[in-house]
Amino acid sequence: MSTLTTPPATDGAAAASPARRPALTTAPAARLVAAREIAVRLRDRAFLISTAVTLAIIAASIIVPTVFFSGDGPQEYRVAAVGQAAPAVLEDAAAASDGALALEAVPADDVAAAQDLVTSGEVDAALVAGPDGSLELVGDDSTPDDLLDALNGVVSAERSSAVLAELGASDAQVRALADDPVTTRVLDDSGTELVVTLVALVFAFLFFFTVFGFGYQIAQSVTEEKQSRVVELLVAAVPVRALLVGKVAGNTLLAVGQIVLIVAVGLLGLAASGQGDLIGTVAGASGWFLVFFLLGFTMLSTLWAAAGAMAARIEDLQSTTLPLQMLVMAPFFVAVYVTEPGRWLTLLSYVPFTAPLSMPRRLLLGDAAWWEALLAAGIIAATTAVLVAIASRLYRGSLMRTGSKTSMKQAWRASVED
Amino acid sequence: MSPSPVLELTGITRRFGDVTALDDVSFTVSPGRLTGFVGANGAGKTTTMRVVLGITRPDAGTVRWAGGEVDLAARQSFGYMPEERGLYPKMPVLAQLVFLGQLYGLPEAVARSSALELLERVGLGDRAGDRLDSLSLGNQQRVQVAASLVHDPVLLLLDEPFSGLDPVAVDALAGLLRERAARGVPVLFSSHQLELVEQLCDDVVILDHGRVVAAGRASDLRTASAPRRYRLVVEPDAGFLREVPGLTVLDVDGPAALVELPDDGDEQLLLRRALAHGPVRELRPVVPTLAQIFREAVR
Repeated sequence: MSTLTTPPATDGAAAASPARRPALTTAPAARLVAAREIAVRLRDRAFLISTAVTLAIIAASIIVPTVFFSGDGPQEYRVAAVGQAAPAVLEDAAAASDGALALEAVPADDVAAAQDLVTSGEVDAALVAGPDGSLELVGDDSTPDDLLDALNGVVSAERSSAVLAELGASDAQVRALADDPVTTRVLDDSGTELVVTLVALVFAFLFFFTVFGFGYQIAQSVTEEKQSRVVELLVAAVPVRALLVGKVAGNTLLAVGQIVLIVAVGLLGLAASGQGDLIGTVAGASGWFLVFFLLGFTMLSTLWAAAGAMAARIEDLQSTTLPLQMLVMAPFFVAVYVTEPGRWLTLLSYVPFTAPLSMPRRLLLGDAAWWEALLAAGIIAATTAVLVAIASRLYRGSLMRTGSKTSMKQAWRASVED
Repeated sequence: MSPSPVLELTGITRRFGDVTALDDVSFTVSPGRLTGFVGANGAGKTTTMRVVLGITRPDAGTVRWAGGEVDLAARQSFGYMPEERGLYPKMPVLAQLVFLGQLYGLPEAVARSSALELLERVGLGDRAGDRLDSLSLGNQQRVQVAASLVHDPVLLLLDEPFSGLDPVAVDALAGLLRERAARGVPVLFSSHQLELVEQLCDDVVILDHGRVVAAGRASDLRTASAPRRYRLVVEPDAGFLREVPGLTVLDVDGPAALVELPDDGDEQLLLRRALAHGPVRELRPVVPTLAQIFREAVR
């Protein structure tokens, strides 16, 4: 078939010479894509609300227990006091309890009045001091044990010292007898092990939910671009890898930002609830966790992008992300199950998919040296390189197939054709 | 002198499996001219555009722009409107135009002012902050037009830009395209609406089953490629024309007839024969419409 070419325009319009702008290369294009990704998420009300709720839960789970269940606060009692000596005895008992008891003396005229107060529940008990120096603690149906113990302790100590002094004992002898004969001592007084276990568990869950949440978000955002067809404009304007890198980078930044925020709220919560002595331990653990989180998240996020590209519609995501869900879930349960130092934990700390959880745990337990951490990080990085190559190919091979779901095989092959 | 901004396709071939989507496609889109790209569904128009944009790689053939290869910088200077429309549904109108402008290499401030100006131009100046999916379909289409123009492209590739537009919007878009062409921008657009192409286009490329069956100036195609047909009105009856040797009579309706002359035939001779028969009221050449040319070309 012959081709007629038309002569150039001769209508007098100045032929525009193509304005040569310098090309926007992969790196700045990826930055733009990442910036859009972040801007859209930060405007997304659902995302903001879920982040706020997560932070609130973290803060509450740290602060609330110390308010309601902690043994730190004093046990409070209102005690009706009858007789001249009673208020002083109560005061001494409170002072001797070392802050464990807070006693409020409620003056009562006589025993009958005090008993009325006890029966009506206005006071927890009544202390009746007789003119002969006797003391009686009156309760409704029982008397509080800790109050009774404290009163007994104070009064017998006073009486003992009086008797000892009468017998001619020195002050030092009196003091020696007043001290508790049995003292206690614990070998590990930091409480670290429980904290380490808790911190590791919390981080395992954070990793799991973040990888799942943000991973799914990456996949969804890729699919949305396909479903809305805007991808054709994007692909015409910038290299495909700029789209992939930008999307992954933007969401990684968001995910790390969210984790940092969660850790910060956690540390603040510890400080606010008077558990400041744990901050050092948790902060140290968090540092390692963040490093491995970043590596692990990057490793998986390109795969999520590929899974998103293989779906033609949002509804396809369930099936195209299924293999990936397994790849996140199985290692999570294994890593949460195997927590005791030993052969298995050591092995898991080097397997790329469990290492982000198991290696920080070993480091916390003092079970791994720094070079082991670097080795594990290297293994994850190498795996990341391989997975990025695979994911890029799947992404590229399926991105323009907007008609129907792309199988992994089709995506792999299409990439060669195009 | 800088090279003339011409888009040249030479011998483009592209197969999808066993199907040859494009078969040795060659044509030119010239500066300052509106080129209509015509073909049935599946003829290969969209694939051709995707090849020019580097979205689809050809198996053979070359695309040249302004005498050079189509590299990333060149592609970013092209304006493209895909047949399957689409922008970010949940993103505000202005934000996504700015984003696209930046992807095409514009600094943010330039992209913003250009986007605002275009939105004003397409009558959506007051909707800049609204989410795209809150706009009517027609208005979304206008945003799509703005998206293809935001970076002041040096070449326009528009896939079915007029489909789904009401007559007022068609006129507005045609005005925009003519304006760009007047600035020397080559414009290639595909369309099913042949009357529209005929009305608008300086040049036409007809594609059929992946092959270019006709290409050139619209006026040339209409006069040169078609057989010589005349409409003749004589009194009292045109039936006698059937007796004229060498003349093909296509249709006779009372005094009026549609005839076709042989290539070497002389219409003056025909006129004299008719006058000898009776008064001649009308004798004029019949130029085929683009639709007719198209039908003949793809037959």
